[in-house]
Amino acid sequence: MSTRLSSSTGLQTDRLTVGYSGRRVIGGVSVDVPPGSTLAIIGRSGVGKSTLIGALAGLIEPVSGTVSVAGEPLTGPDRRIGVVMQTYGLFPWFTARRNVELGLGIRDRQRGSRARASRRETASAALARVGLAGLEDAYPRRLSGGEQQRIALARALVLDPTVLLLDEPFSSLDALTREGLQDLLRELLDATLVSTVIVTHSIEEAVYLGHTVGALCGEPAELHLTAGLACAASQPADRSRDDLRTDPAYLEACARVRRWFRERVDA
Amino acid sequence: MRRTVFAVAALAVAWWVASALVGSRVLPSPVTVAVRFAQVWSPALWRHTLASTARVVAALILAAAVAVPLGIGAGRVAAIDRVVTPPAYLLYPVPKIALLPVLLILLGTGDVTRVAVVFLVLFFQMYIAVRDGARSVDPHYLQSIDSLGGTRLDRLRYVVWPVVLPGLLTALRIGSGTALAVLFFAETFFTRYGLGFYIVDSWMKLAYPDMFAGIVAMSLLGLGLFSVIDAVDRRVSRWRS
Repeated sequence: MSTRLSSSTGLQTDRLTVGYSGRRVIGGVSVDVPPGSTLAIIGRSGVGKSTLIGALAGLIEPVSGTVSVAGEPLTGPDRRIGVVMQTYGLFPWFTARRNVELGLGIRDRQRGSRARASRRETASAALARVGLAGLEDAYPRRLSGGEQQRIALARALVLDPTVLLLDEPFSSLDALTREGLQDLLRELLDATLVSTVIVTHSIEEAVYLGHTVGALCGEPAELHLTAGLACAASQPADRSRDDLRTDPAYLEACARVRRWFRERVDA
Repeated sequence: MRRTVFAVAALAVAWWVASALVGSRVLPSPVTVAVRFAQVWSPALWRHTLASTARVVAALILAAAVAVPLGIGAGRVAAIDRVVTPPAYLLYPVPKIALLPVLLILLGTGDVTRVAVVFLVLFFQMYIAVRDGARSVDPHYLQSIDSLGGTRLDRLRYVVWPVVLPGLLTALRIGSGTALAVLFFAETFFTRYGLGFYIVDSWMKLAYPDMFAGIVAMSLLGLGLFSVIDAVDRRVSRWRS
């Protein structure tokens, strides 16, 4: 199935097909995610959500079709794409600051710049932005799951990516930590023009974070998009988070997506 | 620190008791050996200790220089593994000391042979540890570094190397004991320098306090090696504590 949101300069895919060993996992996904917009994708376990994220990140070569970032076809991993993985993807042998600094260091080296002190400052500021000031020198294993995921967010966003991909980023966290991080992510995304794709098991999370919600269903999996949904992310940024979570419109949107998703899965 | 002092003191007491039981002519007391150690250190023993240290350090550096790249290559690239591992498995079980006559014929009677035999002891252990470490790298970490724009070199530097290092240090710890034992034997041929020579020479002269001073020097050389390895391990493994 081919569905388009709108023409954009953010992230686009054109009939993207991904597979392993001759088996197609993702079949013909075409989607545009404009700058400043978030596409939240739900799907059952094993449907291919992580495979899709891998292909969007340039980490998995597609069988056919293309992924474009700011109008340029993607040929492999690209620094313009920030990735936050399900299993954090942090390097346990580096401190929080070093984890965030690493991407800056690689970028600066490739640009021929050697401003180490400025990188440290930038990394510290990025950690402060996600609420981890004072924990710069802590190693990931000494931190909670929520704190580790904050580092992963800081590391992805510190490079000012054009695209941000999140693969079930909060799935292993407790409810309150998860909600706190959802709020933080929304605040961070509201302040940027990044094109974001988040895959999640949670319908509530998808409706809370996405401007658009999509479902991956079938074999090979196709992407179905909802239309005309009053997602929480479309609400004014100054609304209180607790208000949004108990807003009848939000709850109704969750119920609608649940029904809609069930119909797609059962079809 | 207090526990270390206690352990060393306990060892000295056990030694002293054993010396009293078997007689001080055969097993001199720790005090006699300590005094003799101080007497012979300056004129002779330091030279033998230095020779042994230089040989073991040279072998260690060479073994790491060959085993680390080869092990990482074999751990990450199946084609390299298929070429390097079968010969390594064939040679690894052979007691390296059994190769000493072959090395003496091939490399001569100089220090190169003594370094080579210690190199062989360390190389295989390091190679296997590094290869297994490189194989066990979680692909998520590689994806992480790729997504940050990292190159192949960045993969090695920031992911593979930190994963491989703890195993390498463990192999070094295990290998160092055997390496010193093999070095001792290798120093009993065609050389007049090294703790192996000093200990055997003293034994032949029935100078038991001198012989034990040499054994203590060898023991201290081992302690120095282990201390350096432990210090490096503490520094690079802070994240695991």
